[in-house]
Amino acid sequence: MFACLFQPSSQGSLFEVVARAAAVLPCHGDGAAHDSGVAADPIEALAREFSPRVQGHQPGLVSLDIAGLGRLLGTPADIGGELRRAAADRGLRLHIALAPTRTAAMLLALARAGVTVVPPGGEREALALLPLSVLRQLPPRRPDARRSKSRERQQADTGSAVVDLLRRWGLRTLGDLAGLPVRPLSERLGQDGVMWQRLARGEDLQPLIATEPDVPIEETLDLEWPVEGLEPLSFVLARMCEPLSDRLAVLDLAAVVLHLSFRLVSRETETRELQLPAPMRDPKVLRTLILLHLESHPLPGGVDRVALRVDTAPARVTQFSLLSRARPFPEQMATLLARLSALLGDSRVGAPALVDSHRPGVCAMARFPGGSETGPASADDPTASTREPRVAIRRFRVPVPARVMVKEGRPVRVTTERRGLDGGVVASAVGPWRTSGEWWRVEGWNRDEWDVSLADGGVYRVHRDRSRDRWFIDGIVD
Amino acid sequence: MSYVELHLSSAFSFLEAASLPEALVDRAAELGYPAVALIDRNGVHGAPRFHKAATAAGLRAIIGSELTMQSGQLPVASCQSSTRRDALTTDHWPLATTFRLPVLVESREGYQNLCRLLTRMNLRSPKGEGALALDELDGHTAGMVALVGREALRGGRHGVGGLVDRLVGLFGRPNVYLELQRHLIRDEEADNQALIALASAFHVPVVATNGVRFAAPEDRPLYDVLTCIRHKTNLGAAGRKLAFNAERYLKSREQMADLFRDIPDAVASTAALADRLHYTMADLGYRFPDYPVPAGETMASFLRKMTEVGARERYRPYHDRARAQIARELDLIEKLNLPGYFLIVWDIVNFCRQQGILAQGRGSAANSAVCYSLGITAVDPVGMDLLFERFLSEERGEWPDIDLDLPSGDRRERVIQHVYEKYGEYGAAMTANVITYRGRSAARDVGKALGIEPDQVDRLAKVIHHFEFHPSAGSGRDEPVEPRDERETLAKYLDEAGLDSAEPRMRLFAELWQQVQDLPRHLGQHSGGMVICQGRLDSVVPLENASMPGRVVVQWDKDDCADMGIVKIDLLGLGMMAALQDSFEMINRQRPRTATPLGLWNLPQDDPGVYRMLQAADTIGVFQVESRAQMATLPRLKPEHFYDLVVEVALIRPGPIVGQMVHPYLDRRAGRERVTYPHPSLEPILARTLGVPLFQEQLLRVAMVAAGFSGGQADELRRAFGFKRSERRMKQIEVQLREGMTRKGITGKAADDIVLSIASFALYGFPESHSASFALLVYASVYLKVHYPSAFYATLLNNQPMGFYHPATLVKDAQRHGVRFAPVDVQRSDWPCTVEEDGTVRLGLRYVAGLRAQVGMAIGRPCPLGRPVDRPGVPFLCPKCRCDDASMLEVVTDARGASGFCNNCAHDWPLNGRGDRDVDERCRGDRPVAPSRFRSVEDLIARTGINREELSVLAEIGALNAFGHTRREALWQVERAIRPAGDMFSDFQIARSSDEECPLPVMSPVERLVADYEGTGLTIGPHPMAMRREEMSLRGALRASDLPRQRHGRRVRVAGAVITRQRPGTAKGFVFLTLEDETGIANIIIRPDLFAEQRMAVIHEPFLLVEGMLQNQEGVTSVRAERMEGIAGTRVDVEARDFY
Repeated sequence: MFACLFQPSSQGSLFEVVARAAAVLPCHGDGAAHDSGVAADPIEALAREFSPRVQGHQPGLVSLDIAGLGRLLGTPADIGGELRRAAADRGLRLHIALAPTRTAAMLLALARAGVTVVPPGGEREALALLPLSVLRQLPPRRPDARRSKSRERQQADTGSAVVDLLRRWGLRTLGDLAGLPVRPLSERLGQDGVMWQRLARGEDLQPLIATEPDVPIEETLDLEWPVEGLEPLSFVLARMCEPLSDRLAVLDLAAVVLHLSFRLVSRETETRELQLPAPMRDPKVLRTLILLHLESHPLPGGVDRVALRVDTAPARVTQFSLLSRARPFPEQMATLLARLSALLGDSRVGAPALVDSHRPGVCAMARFPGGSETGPASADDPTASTREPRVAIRRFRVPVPARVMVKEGRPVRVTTERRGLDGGVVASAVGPWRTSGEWWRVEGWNRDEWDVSLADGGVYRVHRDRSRDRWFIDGIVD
Repeated sequence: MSYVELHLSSAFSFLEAASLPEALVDRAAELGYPAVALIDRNGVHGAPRFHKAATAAGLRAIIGSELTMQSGQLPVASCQSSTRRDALTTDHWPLATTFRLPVLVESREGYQNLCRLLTRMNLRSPKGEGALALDELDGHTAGMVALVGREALRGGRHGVGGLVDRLVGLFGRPNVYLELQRHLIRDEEADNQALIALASAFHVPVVATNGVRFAAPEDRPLYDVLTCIRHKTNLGAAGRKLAFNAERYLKSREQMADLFRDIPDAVASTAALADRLHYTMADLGYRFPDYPVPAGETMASFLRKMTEVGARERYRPYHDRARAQIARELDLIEKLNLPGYFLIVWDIVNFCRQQGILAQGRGSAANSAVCYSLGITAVDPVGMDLLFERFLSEERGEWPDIDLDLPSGDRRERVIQHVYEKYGEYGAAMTANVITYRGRSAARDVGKALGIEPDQVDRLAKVIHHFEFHPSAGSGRDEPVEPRDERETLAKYLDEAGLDSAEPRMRLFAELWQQVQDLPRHLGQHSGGMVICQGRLDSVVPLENASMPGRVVVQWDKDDCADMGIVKIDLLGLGMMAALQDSFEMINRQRPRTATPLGLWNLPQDDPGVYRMLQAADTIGVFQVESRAQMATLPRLKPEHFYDLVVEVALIRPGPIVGQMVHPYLDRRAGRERVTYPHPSLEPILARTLGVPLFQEQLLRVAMVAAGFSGGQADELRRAFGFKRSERRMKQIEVQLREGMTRKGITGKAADDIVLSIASFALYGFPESHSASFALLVYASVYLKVHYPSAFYATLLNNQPMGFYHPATLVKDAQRHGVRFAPVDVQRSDWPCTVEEDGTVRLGLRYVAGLRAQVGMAIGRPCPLGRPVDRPGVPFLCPKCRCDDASMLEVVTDARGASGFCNNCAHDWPLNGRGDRDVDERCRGDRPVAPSRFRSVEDLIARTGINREELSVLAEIGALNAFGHTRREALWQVERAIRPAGDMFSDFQIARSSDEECPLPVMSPVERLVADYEGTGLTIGPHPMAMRREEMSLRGALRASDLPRQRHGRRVRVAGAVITRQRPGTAKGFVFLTLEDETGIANIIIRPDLFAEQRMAVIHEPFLLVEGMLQNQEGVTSVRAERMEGIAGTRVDVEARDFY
């Protein structure tokens, strides 16, 4: 005997359902839900309270084997009632069906609200009046279909096409399909047709394949007395990272995000999240990264409890190239960047990026590419050596306002308030070089640039903002 | 200051420049330039307009082009080939890059060389991808001057100094200039210094230009937007693709002299070079081909003889008026040296006649008795007293314009290919159609370029789509139409569409949308204009490939060709011509061999049945007068003679409607209004149309008489009547009109009326002769509808899409006229619809959705096997409608037992009664036995290669019923038959019997209807509304046929399928719907406010129940809607045709 629980989408999105269920789940303190090992899907969690043999098909659709549950709860109708009550306690309104076959239970749960109980042998009759369209909602047949999206789509397409064809044939209900003679049906639709007919009759094509709940990988450590400062915390983190890495190694997984939670002596909780540049599980690297993060973003006080949870991904497999120079390991690169960030601040570490614009002086900074991405051209790039040497200009990141005397349209004297920039009479001037752009935005520009050499020998790049008629010094030419 | 700008690019560089040639010329004239040079990219598309504008402004127009060059080596084989069949793409140029080489034309030889080079480049490559190799210039550079700029410094491509060296070798040292440009860009200056050094080294002069891309600095935003459109990006993402600054505008001579004050030679050489370039477009060297005449004849004498022969055939008797008119025309033709032109058109018409292709001259050619005699036109201009001078006059000094209407499709293509073959690969080409930015396309492209979200762009485009009417223009017909203020209108509609017109981005959109109007976007192909040339046309104008395979177009549109004196012959395709020809062929096949074949030329005149049908507005499917507006006018106009049709065709046009000429004419015709004239001097001109100007000819003569227009001014007015550029030109002409009328003492309302009449024609009006040609097609189509409805409707269905109505509506209209239809049947249907011996129209396989043409034709290919498969037990006569078509009748077996069902009238009846058996037995023997084509479904599959989906559709629409199945039985069999059995069982599969009992339920009537619409887009069975009639009657809805008998002003309800929606620009926001039910059609009028309230229902509901006031006046019935609602539960998806 099987039961199937289905959450119709009209009761809100899955996220809303999860949030609602999480709100009513028993709370055992921070992270207690994870401690108890319950699944993220509240319906699956509910099912696991009734039976260890649970199969989640898709979000909101779960089957469970209720064999033997009768001795505890009574008749199938009683079991259905208990399931309904438990769901209601969690704020869930589910379609619940109990039937001798898993397929019948699933189809009935998909199609009917409330609790439906089918006696042994009554599957076909119970299904007969259901519309054919319910077949479209059936989850992929293979339990491993999650790993093959294309196969899943293919199966869904086939199902949809078969249902369309059956409707063209004038069939409207599962009973109509179930009543077709098998051999002629097979001659026309092949084994696929027979399969859909067996489903319409409520026959199981596969046994229930129980799945294990997803258990989060995390470590929590309550300290006997509070610690303050990075050095004592380093030991604590080492004790946590090593077993966590061991577990990751066993599962052939690696961490991609670290979730840190620190309970402070003030009873407040401080949480941090570290995005790792590549999947990794070396405990020393993980510890170093956490410490560097804490160095640049210190905790506000002493800590008496530390929790560390990781989001996982398949472990990285490195294939070195014979044709290009090996790049630094992501772990090393991440550590280096973390050190630099700790020194300079997050916003001041990155790679210069080209900006596709005529706007003078425009610049941007981008994150360093990850280990798998192509890095900047190496120093021994053959094209790099052929580039012409350029005159360098030291730009002021914010142009310096200046007063410029103009005669016959050309600057003849430059003065400024900025210390270190003396200004003076213009010995020679070249220009104007005119650029304008982004006329569709308020911050568009329209300017004339001049390169001026002053009597003191300094060479400056100055510009006149034509829209505001103001002068600025852009930089000094070396 | 001796500077002359020698490098202008106009918008005819297609998205690479932002000003029209006229704008550049205007600006140049303002700045005092004596000459300017236009160098558009890869062509001389804008040269005629540039030349014309410059001539008018007193400037010398220098012509040139920027050639796209490949810097790599052209493969030897490709160099030797110059035909368009040897497509050359960038794949042929490994590792090559392109650059642009501006060349200027010095002499006619240079112009011819340029045209040939451009033709070579464009014809061998896909559109827009052509390029030339330097080697190909060898021997084709005489009369041209090359300007070379920064490309000369690309040593990596050409070697240091290599390009200049090559060009000096190709063009000659005096014909190569190094081009210096200064746009105040830092990197440019270093290159200029290098170019000066290079010029010094090669002893070639330098010349300054500004590489102009727009007329004034304020055009730069538009230029950036066009750049975005060209690169398919938006302003935010375009980055350095956009202009560096706004310096590429046409600067004054002083500015340029100041800019190059350190290089005075570069400025001075511009004037010297401009003086050298003496070629103008007035010297094209075009000549119309001579017609080869028999020995001893001249073209003039031969034309006279042919005309004489034709006139005796056409005019019976050949009366003196015709004789005198023809003699007068021939004298003028001879005097203007045009006999060759007439003979060549006559030759094309002869080809059509020999090939059995119906051809008829339209337009002003119908004013000529010579054309009528030569068989070019079908309307007798002498009999109709048409004005010959509208066609040809000595004063006008231009070629006449003869347009030929041909059946659309393959037959027209055959004629076009004949002209190509006859005048050679380089002797004939189609005229271009310059696709310019208009409301919707401008909205889409500008919106995308501004980075507006796609859904907003869609909304903008839809909003713009409805701009045709101006809501502030009042709703009464007598209120004057206010002048359009596009900016105000745009803001209003942006707000209506939920877009904030005050938002800066939307304001920017509005400005740019207006600026981009009329700018060319790309070059298309004119629908039928062909130019031919004595000698090589590619020496006169560059040729390029059209998108359509096998077509070549010149780079100029029809107006430009006319301006340049190039003769154009329009070979236009008309769906109705194709339908008429097919009808005549079908009818003549069935007529006795001894009878005179029926044709367009010999239809009985003034047939009373024709005018009865027209007066009753029973004109669905008829040429030109089937629209709602035409149908509403016919009962008022009550046509009784052919000339009434000429008026009717011309009357319902935007020109007369906006000019408020329709109601005065109808009122005067009905005697409700006195016939008056704006001025007594106009009476002779307007008398035949009761004082109301309706035709272009009348308006021209009014302008000449009332405003003293010269022939030239009248001709300018005539050309302003054309579709394009008209409104702007009409405004200029309006000033001249008023001045002229004031001089003649015509002022006040009379002057206003005349101006309104003339200005309205800018919105499109017909010349009388054109209207007469169309009226003949109207008459012919009504004649066929009255006397040969089966052939008429069958051929209409075969030539879809055309006309105003969906095929489903045509079928229902035909059935209401007594035409019987038979369904698609694989044993009997051909690809097109056919008429069977008993007059039944058999639907063709072309109507089966998704059926490939080759499969359909394979099914239709005659290959009879013998007697058809019998359908045991099927009755052959419906007791209700007496339908005896076995394919329309089905046996339905259900719990009640066996019953018959008629697909024609949706009637079912029990089959157990004795009477039915008697009927069955009686009719079985009467039915003619047609040969069948296929033994079984398996046989059909094996012989035609039909696939499963196609077969399923055929089964669903009942096309396989002839194998002894109902539709569902056929579906059941098809699924088995189509599955491959493999080689081992293939014989077994053929032999499998199909008598296995089918477990599927029989289709219900509604299911059949749905299957019909899904499978063919129409039904020959009951109308969908027939199945809802009982319910509609309970809701108080009348049938369409009941409406004419109801009292005017009564509140009524009517329900039906929406078959057309119309919101014409001239209707001030009113929407017109046509509803169809099983009895006919009902016209619905929706006020603008009601439309705004119920827009979704009006636009999207396929079936509507409308309540409103009945208007029943002068034989015209319509319902003025007050409330509407969709009819729920109708599963049929009826397709409406929307017109805006």
